[in-house]
Amino acid sequence: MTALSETLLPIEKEKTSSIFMDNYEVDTPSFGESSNFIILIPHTPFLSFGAKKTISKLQSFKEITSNWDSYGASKPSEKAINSAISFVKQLDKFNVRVYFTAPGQNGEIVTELKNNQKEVEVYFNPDGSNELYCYKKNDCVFEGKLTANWDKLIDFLK
Amino acid sequence: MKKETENIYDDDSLLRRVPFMDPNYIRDDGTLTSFAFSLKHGEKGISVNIERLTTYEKSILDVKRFRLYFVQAKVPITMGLECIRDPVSDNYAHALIKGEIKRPISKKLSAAAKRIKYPA
Repeated sequence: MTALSETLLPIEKEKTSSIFMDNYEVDTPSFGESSNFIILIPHTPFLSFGAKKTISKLQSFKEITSNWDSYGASKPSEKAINSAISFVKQLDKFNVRVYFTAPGQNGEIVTELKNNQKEVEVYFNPDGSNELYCYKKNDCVFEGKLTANWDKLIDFLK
Repeated sequence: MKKETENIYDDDSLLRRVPFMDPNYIRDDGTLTSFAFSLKHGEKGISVNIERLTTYEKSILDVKRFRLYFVQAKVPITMGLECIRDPVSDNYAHALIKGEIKRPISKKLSAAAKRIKYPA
């Protein structure tokens, strides 16, 4: 065990790539030309209080049954909820907070972001698709897919 | 003879019932999220009541579960939407806001809606 630790520490500095997952960091340090190892390091990403609160609210949508509004609303889609949770985690890395979130009548989830007169709505649909709408004083100035417009979204909110 | 569709005037207030319990479409500051004026799959229009033909009590149905908001009919009309009388057996005041109601339209309608403080 001691020998292993002694070996790993210096090699950490020579790592060639790393991928972050929710709870683990996968490190693939190079041990020279012929030796490659994969190290799984427990990694607890820091989440702000606001993000945790929003994620908790989103998780609670999983408990909602269909017809929750008594007008025949669909049960919120688990796929849509999980996509929204991933979005909240990504946003948190940019210190952007979700202002409001709610399930729609058709199983979709909306997350709203706000900076003074600028507002953003991101819809996560049950089929896995998403929709991004940017508003200035309630006028839509841009719409598209979140996936292709992440940078635009962050710039818009600055 | 006038058609039913001619009975909604620009200055008519159109009442919309909005869920208040959790989850809901009312933000902490009392403003509405776009879902308050969105369509469910298969719906022909946004269901509203014409204020002058009903009472707040009849329109809100359940004060514990809903809040009442209104928009002036001229708001959807100026967006190119139609406001059409749609009286049903138990609700003579019922009407529909019809047209191509996409997300930005729902957003504008929700932003224009004002709360009716009922019960006071």
